[in-house]
Amino acid sequence: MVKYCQSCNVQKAFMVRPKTGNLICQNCFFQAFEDEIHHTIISNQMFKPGEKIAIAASGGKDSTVLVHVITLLNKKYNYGLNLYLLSIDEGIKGYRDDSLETVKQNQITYQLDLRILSYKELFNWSMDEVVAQIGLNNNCTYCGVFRRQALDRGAIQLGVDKIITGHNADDMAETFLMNLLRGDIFRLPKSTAIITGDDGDNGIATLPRCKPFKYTYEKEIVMYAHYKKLIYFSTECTYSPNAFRGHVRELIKNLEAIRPSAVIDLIHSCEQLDAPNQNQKMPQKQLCQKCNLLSSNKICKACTLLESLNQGRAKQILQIQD
Amino acid sequence: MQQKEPKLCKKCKTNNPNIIIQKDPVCKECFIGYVEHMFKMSLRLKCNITQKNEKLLVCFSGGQNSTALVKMASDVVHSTCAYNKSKMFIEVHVLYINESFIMKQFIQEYQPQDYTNFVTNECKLPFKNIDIQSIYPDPYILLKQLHNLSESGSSREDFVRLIKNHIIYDYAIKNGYQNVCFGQNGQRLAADLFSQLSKGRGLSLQSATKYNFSFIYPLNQQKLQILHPLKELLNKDILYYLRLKSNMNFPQFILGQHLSNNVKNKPAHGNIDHLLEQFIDKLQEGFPSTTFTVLSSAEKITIKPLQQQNHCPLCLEIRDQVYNRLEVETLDNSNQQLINYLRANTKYYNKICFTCNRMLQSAQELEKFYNLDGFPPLIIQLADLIQ
Repeated sequence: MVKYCQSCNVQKAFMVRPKTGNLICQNCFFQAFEDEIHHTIISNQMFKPGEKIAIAASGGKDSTVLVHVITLLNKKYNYGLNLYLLSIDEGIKGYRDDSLETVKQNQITYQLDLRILSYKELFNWSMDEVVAQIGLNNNCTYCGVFRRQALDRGAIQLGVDKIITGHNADDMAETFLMNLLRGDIFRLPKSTAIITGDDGDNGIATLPRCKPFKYTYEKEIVMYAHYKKLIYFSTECTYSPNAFRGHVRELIKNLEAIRPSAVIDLIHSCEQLDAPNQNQKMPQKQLCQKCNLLSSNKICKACTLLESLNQGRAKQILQIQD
Repeated sequence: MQQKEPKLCKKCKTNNPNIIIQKDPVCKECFIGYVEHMFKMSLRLKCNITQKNEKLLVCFSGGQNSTALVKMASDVVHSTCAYNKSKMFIEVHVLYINESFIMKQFIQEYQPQDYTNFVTNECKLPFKNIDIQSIYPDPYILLKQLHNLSESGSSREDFVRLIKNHIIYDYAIKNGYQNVCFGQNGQRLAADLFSQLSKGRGLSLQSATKYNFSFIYPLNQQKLQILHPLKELLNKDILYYLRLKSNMNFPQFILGQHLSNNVKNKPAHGNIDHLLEQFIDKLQEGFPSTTFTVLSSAEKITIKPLQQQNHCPLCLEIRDQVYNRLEVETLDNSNQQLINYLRANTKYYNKICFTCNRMLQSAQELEKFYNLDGFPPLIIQLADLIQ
């Protein structure tokens, strides 16, 4: 029996839409996917005409689809944006060096300027060297903190107004649950914020980061990339199997299997939250005394982690000399 | 060679330890003493049960947590605690909602249990047994509604839960009980919180895990206090307490037997509550501070102020706000028409909250649900009263 698309009722269905569990044809899926991202951008007033936007591109499925869709929507709806690609090389052999080739391919395909910054040149440490120093626990903490600062530095070098990242609905739902599990009450309400960093606390503004894929499911991004024949790098990070996020990721997958709307429902739950009550002492935004970038302490987390790494390296050198 | 001294109970330093409480090994006597003391302190200091002859309605389900709660309540009322014999001068009544009518329809091997002997004779507490279907003018409508709801996603379980809550609150108000006590321990509260968040009930962060949460019953604007005095305890604490204090047998059902194959094969047999219980239990084993971190975070977070504080007539929670249309619908034309139709053609669509909408979304005969056809008069009365 032929099954028809539940959106247009004309074309034959070619897949079950992960977000709804309904049958949908290819055209309706592509249209809905792009329309929902466009709606997300417009309803949150994400951009202004003439703005320079850096797309954080890793070569993975999320950022590849992001580059494709933003370029498409920019032309289709005349957003008037100037787009750039910004990539960070963490220095993970067999992972990042391969995915950067995909980014370079995207640069040619979409004819965008590309800037690549590496941990080695910024911090004098590659992730492989960090893991060799600290082992396989907590390495995601180092990588995440360094990448955040690297993106900020890269964006400053490019002179852009905003950074956009490919964080999708599944990522946001995972972050929400992880922050609750870790007791990070200050980050909890912002776990699903679509634009962060534009609040200008204490007169200190940071480059806003926007997430146009806030309501877009990871599975749909994969399907979009697959059926649009986009080229992306699909291997997981070498160090990710040990991450705590893996527990939450598995939970989200199971929730989706039971009820497809669960991911959006988690985002909806997080939207109801406000800052912690006034009895909790909020960290004050200030500039790091070492690197002059945004920090919640006198010395930012990146500088603190770097110091501990450098001390460890110094100890090793002393031991060798002895 | 120096021999290692055997570890002793951290509290009495005399007996051999039997269980770990919050990283301290304790013997069974000190464990019982700790639980009894914790329960009294919870009631007095956290749940504000301080007045003489204060009335407490204890909700009993026949499960392990509520059995432990009834046992503890009986000990403090009758001064039969193993240690610290000080009596609490409170009036405790036990309420049991009998779900046999539903269970027999879905689980072939279900055997109804009679708890009268346990509550009345063993615990010596007044006992009220209410059949769940008694709230319906026609009890078979309840069965039909359950059959119409989706097997998956805990929709049926959530529906039964909200019917039970209506019965509990109505009984409490009519009989002058301002305090309604539930037996969930800390681990179950954490799992329940995650379950509610996964269903879109973010507002439950301000109430679901508190020792003491007040809400105004919309029908007559009377205040009810929902209490969770066992919040300090974990699953293993309850199990060990029952092993020492009770001979009750807890029937084990093989979950999911009654479900269709495509639901049975889903994670946790398609039940969100069970999935989150398994998740929290697994994390708690690997990371022992999980439960208390979650509960502590939930205490500190606040909720965005709402423009209006109107209740949902089904779950009685405050109706939350939708901040973006993509939270409710997709732009592929598959559900917009249905939503617009229900909004325009049913009586109560706009009064139902986000989570209850999700519960109903894959139901058959949707219009009947949104018109509250066949629903208990109590719920219809509430729905008409609410803005």
